[in-house]
Amino acid sequence: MRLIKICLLVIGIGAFGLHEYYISIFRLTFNRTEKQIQGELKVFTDDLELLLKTNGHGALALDENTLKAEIESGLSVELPKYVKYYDIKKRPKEISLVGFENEGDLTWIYFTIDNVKSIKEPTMEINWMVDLYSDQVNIVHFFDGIDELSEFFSRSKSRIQFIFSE
Amino acid sequence: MNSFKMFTELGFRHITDIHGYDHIIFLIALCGVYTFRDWKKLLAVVTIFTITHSLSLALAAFDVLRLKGDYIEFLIPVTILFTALFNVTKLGSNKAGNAKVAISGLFGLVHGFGFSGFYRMIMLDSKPWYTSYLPFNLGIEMGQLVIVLVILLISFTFQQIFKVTLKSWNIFIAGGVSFISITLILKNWPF
Repeated sequence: MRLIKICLLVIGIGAFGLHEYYISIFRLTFNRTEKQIQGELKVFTDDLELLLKTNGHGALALDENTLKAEIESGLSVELPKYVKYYDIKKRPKEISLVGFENEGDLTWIYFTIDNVKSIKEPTMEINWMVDLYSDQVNIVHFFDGIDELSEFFSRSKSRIQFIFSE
Repeated sequence: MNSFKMFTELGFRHITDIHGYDHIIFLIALCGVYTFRDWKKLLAVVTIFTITHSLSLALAAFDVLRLKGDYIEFLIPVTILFTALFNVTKLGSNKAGNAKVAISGLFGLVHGFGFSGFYRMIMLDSKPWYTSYLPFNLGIEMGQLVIVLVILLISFTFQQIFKVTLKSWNIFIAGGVSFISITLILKNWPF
């Protein structure tokens, strides 16, 4: 009898479909000479298309070259909305889109944060894709030219301070 | 945290994620017939699985051999179903034999391609391959070890405490796992 109950439990588990992993990867590199943070964001193409569509930029296929201007226009609105950078004095810094590159199921978005003199103890607030997927995880690898720090961002942990040794 | 720890954690999270339970179910099917007393044989089964999935993960991640994701998503539950049903055959339930080791090695190749989709996403193109590949694999192995231990504990509890016979346990594992894998096969049918 006990075995039958557990069988039913196992069957119950099977009734739930496998779900996709929801993840995006940020790589930030501080360029001391240019006083600039150069960033790239790797994201699943279908997730990004869904984000643009959901936020009113239309059904844009990222592999369509003729739509490049519309896609970049959408990204330059969406990226700063969900990705924020604050210096040690908690002053926000502007995030500027450089462009994007599509390679099949993956897309890279390039951006910069300018006028950054030092990256001692910056704070990042990232809510990228969390409106679409509650269990979205955003990973940030932040390289200051010497050390690299990595952090998990999620809906429940969207604001993290990076502390570089300098 | 440093990136080594990050990639290790990502590997661990990936295999232990209950929402992506296909690898967990494969391990249940793979370890189903074993108990703590069979640890040497189980170690061989798990080790060969580790070697082969690491190999195919590397082949796919570094673009040596890439298979279409749809077919991999379909093949993974096929390997689970085969392993579960194999457990109730005479050959499959023979714990001393090497058939399970061979199956584990062969199917490890398929599961490695499954891991590669996630790995390609998290790997950093600008950094040397080993800075992410090695810790990610380490995390997968750690997660795999935890899952195998949990399976053995559950198996021990049922067989030693609730006195469920090995034969009944085997049928239960084969039935439950087969049902789940069939639903996944139908869901991921690529043809």
